[in-house]
Amino acid sequence: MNPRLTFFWTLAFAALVAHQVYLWTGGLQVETDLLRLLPQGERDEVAEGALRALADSASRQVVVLVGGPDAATEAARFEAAVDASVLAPVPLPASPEDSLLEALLPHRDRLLTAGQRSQLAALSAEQLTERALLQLQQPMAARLGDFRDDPLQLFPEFLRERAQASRVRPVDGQLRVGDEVLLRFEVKGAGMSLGSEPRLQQALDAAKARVATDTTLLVAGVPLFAETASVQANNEVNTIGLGSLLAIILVMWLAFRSPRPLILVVLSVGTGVAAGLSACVLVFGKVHLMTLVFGASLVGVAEDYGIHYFAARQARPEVERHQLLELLKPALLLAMVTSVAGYVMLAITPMPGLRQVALFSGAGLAAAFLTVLAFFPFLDSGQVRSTRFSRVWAGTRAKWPSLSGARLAVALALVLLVAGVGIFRLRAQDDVRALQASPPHLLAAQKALAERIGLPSPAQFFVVRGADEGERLAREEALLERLDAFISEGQLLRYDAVSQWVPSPRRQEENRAVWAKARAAVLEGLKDELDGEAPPFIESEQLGVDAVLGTSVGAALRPLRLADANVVMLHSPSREALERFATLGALPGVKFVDRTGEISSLMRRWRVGMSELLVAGYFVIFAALWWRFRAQAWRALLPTALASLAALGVVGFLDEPFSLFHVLALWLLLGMGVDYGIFLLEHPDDGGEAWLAVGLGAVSTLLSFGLLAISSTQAVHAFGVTLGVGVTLVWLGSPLFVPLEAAPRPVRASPPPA
Amino acid sequence: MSAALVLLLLAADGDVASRVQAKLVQREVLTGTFEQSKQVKGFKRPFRSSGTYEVKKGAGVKWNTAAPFASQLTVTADEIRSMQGSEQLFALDAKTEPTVKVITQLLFSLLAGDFAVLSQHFDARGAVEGEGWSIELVPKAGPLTRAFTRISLKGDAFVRSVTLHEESGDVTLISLAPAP
Repeated sequence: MNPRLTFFWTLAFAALVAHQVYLWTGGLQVETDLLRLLPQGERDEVAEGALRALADSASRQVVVLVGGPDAATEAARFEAAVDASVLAPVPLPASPEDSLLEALLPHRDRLLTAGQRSQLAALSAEQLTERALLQLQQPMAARLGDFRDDPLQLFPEFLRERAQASRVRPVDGQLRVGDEVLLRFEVKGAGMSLGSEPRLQQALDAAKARVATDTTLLVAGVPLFAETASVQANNEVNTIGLGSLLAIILVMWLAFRSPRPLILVVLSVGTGVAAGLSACVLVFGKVHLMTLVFGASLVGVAEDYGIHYFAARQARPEVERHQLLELLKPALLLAMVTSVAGYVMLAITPMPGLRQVALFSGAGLAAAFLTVLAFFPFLDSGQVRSTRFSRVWAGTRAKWPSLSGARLAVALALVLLVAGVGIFRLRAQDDVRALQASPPHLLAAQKALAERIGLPSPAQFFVVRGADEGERLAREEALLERLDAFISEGQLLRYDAVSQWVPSPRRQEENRAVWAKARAAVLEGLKDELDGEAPPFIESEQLGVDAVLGTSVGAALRPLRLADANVVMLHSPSREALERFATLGALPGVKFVDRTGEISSLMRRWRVGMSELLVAGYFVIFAALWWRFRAQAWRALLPTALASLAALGVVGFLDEPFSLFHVLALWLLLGMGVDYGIFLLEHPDDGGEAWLAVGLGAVSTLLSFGLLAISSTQAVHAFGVTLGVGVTLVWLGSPLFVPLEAAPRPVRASPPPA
Repeated sequence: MSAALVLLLLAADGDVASRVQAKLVQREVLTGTFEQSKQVKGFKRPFRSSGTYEVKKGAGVKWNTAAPFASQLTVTADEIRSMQGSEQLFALDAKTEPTVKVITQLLFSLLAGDFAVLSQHFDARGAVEGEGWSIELVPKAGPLTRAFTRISLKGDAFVRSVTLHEESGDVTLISLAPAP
């Protein structure tokens, strides 16, 4: 009996209710971007900056490629039909090409493509002269400037070749990609909210219905993926939350046949979930959708304390309820601490998403525990009826077989053998791409569109650093020469880089020299044809990046140029190329950033690391159990250990890809599974009420976590399968190791402080 | 935009469009020889070249220069390609360069006598005297002004000459002799 605890917890409860009212009346911000769950990677400010810039520009855009016999008309019709309050068209920049020409023209003698440089070096003076005349006889030669300045028309050729790198052209106020029209939209409204309605998809489908049937539409964009994930997760939250709530109500009703235990257990669980939500919002500002999916499963764990209390009340009507709670407290506390310890292990992983889950669950469990401790004896007046269901269930405890001696050894060997075979079959899968659950049609459209309009890979690129702009560009050029080898091998389609438009100062001087030599050769060859002295070679100043940023290519160049580094984007690199790119990091100032590969390797390291740590975790939990149960401690831990191995074995037999998430699920299993052993060891001589409480708890835990297995998100699914198998085995296996007659009373000399 | 010129070399239209059009002989395939004289700023003499041409209505234009250097220019709905023997001097593909499509469409509408298209790009003035006619085209504000100040066409039942006054100061005179 602790009135002070009740008093303080009542205050905390009131604050919690107030916060929840605030949250549910509009203060709750739900994040749906799955990428936010991924680790930041090795801290590299520059690479992170580049990634952020890429992500920001991409995260709100939806693009539609319209094809068909009359693409221009249908595109206009489609654009007009899209609900602008959901997706607003992005306007085209006005008359872009002129400014680029004007920006580059004064520096034209400094601009050559790689092809031009090698060609000019290879041709003789006569060949150069012939080439100049050949161009002169072209009836359609749109010459730029005085013949004598640029007799070989190197500058128009440079422009033409550079322009071909981008397939998207503004024509008649539309963006054309070949015969097709590209439409760009931006998602309107303040981010995405937790919704079950696919608003974007509906807006696009409505517009789709308006265009001619022979029109082809390719739709892609990050918001569509986010929306699909959001709708999907929303359904999962509802299914899992509702499923586990119904499970609790069902088992509570069967066991107690009275509304009071039911209401109080739901109160403790509700307080737990609310506290988890509030804690996340207070610490992180908002809560991620995936946290809610996991949080829904918390329901299945948090009810254990309340159930345990009522099972004891039902079995011992003669004991005063405050006193009873004092007797239960050590076991409840130990169970809560071991469970929270399991969640704390999630918090130390590099994944921000799991940190939220850990906080949500840790705070939730603690709050549910405190609610039982502080409120239950006060609110639970009267008797808890005995029911036939409870008696039958409790009675099975006495009939449950127990293992010892040779039978124990044989059972252990058998479980280890079977689990071992399954574990041997495990296939590790750390590739984050495989863990995504995006619908195939969206992925296919995204890929097709990236190929058609030439989108670079957003997750793999080079970062080039240097003391100043000039050094960066020079180092970038050194890198590009190496990348050219990949292009000629067919391992890379092409790249986007600043130095393609603005060569390094040294390269500019070289180009100018090559240009001047070729021009002089042509003018010398045509000396007899020319009238008097040729005008002097144009004087030009060095071309700077800033001059080009203001033009139409500025939009394409800006993401490639960070405050103190350049980014080289890659188009369609092969897997082999990605593996070999890391070696290019040996070039001065060059770093290859492989976001996907980085996260995958991070996942692998954490999978291995957390697996090893799990063994250490068993020792820590064993120490905690030893403190209370001494030589009998192994009886509480062994079922969980065996169930974990068996769960791994099942994953192996199911041929599921084995990832970090399975290992993390085993951590949770350690925290929860040990509870069952604790409850049974604490009450070796009871009438089976601990067994009843464990069973009721396990069934509802199973229903809630087992429901995670239906999730289409691979990570959530992994939790569901591992915990579903694990919890079942711990529940059914625990009594095997706690024989009723053999178990001594636990040490009660030093109960932990309340 | 540059290909728009080609069609102007070969098709005559203008403000006096309907009258000129009435005079022009319409043929599915038009072939002939040409002589080109280009006065380039800085050169003592005009630069001369000659060869043959072929216009297939709605399909494409071939411009084969025989002297001083053999080269072939082909303009179709899908591409603009310039070859010297087997060596490709340059090529623009309509698939990657959407403007090609616009240019060639303009070309073919011109060859078909679609004056609506022409007047979108040029202001035209002209005169008809007996069998002969002349038209002067001044590009409207837009990308064409970067290439030409004006284009003069002369002819009778056929286009006989095209004079291109280029923005650079160069003047190109093309004389056409259609095969009978």
